[in-house]
Amino acid sequence: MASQHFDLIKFDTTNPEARCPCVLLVDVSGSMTGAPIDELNKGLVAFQQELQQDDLAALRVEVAIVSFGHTVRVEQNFISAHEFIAQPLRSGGNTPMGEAINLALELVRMRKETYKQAGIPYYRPWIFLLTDGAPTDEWRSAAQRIQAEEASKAVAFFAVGVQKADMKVLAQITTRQPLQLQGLKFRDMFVWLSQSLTTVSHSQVGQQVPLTSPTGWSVVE
Amino acid sequence: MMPSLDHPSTATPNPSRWRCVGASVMGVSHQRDATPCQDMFGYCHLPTGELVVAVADGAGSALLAKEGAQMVVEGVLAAVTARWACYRPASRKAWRDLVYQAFQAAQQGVLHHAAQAHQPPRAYAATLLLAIISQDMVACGLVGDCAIVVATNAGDLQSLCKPQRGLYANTTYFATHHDLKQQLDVQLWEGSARHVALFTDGLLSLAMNIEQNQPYAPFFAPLFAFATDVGNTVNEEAVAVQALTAFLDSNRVNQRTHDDKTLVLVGQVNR
Repeated sequence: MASQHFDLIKFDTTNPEARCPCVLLVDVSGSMTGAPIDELNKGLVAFQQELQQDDLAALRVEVAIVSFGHTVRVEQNFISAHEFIAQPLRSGGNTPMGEAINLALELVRMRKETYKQAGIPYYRPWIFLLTDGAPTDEWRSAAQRIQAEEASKAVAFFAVGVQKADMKVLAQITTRQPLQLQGLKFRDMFVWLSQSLTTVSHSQVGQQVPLTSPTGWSVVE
Repeated sequence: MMPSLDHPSTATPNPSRWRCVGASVMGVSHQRDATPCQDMFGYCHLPTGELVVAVADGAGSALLAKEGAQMVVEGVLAAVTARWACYRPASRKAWRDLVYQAFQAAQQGVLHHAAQAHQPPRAYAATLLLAIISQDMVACGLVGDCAIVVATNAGDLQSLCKPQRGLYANTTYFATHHDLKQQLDVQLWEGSARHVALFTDGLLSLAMNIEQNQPYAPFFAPLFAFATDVGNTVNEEAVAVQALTAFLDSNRVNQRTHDDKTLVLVGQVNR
């Protein structure tokens, strides 16, 4: 008797998937030339593959890439992880980190606006900064913006220093402890990042996401 | 009259004009993470024939979420029952006050318990939905992202409270909210409800367009037909609860939602 009724039940399919936006903010200055940029590019491929292995993460995570070197460039505007194809980045130029941070924040702000207009629920956006140097432009105002946006929980901003990155400046930009990459373990770092984003994209209402410790790729002090 | 949790409160045939069938089922993500089902519901029949239903969803990040959900459900039912023994609301304002006071009492219960247990109130965070269903009115209150859908005699569906989402997809509001007056959504729906459904957020995306707060009729129509068919004995209610539980735990539901899910169906008893 009962099963007859239950078999007839149909589900609403009009609700959009929640989105989990992440901007990779990548230093491609001249000092990244050689092994660093090669390993970074391999890491990006691993990032793509890992995200695409999880059905829900592939649907929900959205990736954008901003590079900074000769110029500040949107290499990839927000794209669903299942459509994301890692393209190799090329190195050269300075480290205009301040401008790059401002652009990343702007991309996030615009993306949120798009979500709101379309009625799409979303998770707190992440910005993930990778650098091997120190800013060659004005960065303090960008740092202030990051701190204000962290305080209002508008974004979560992570910074990872590579090789001789100026960790002191990074510590002034982020409200979270910046991490130092072990050698050139970009691949391990990107696998960790994709796993963390996967966890976030699976999280349900009222659930805070415990991130796994970044062991295996970051230097433990 | 003591509120009952998860099971009918009487051993004799249901004297109320309302029949209630409900079930809570653990989500597959909770099975995976070995966390308990943090949904809870309860209901009681008032001596004057009204039905009081409460549904709560403990926050995934709260340490004692299951306990919190149980406390607010029991607290809010007990508060309505106690007040009902003293007075009957005679105006819309009095109804709104009754709902607010019931939430306040449930919150006070949690805060008191938390203080005694040396835990922060946050540890007991749970969403909470309350409905008092009478012949000519459904009075309800909501903090969080549960939902309540009413079917009129003409078969029209209406979601009475908009599920409350926080800033982000994984955030919402809880019965322990510091500004309850501001966060509590009280709605008084005047009319004769043929059916009422109350459910937690685990079923939201299957049951309605959340943004537009629009119930999905092909979801509810078979469920309400099922509720209509349930017989009027305790045994038949128990069989119906089993059937509803099996549906909530079915593959087709679990493929669409990984969260805990609770569904309470209320229908008029045909006399």
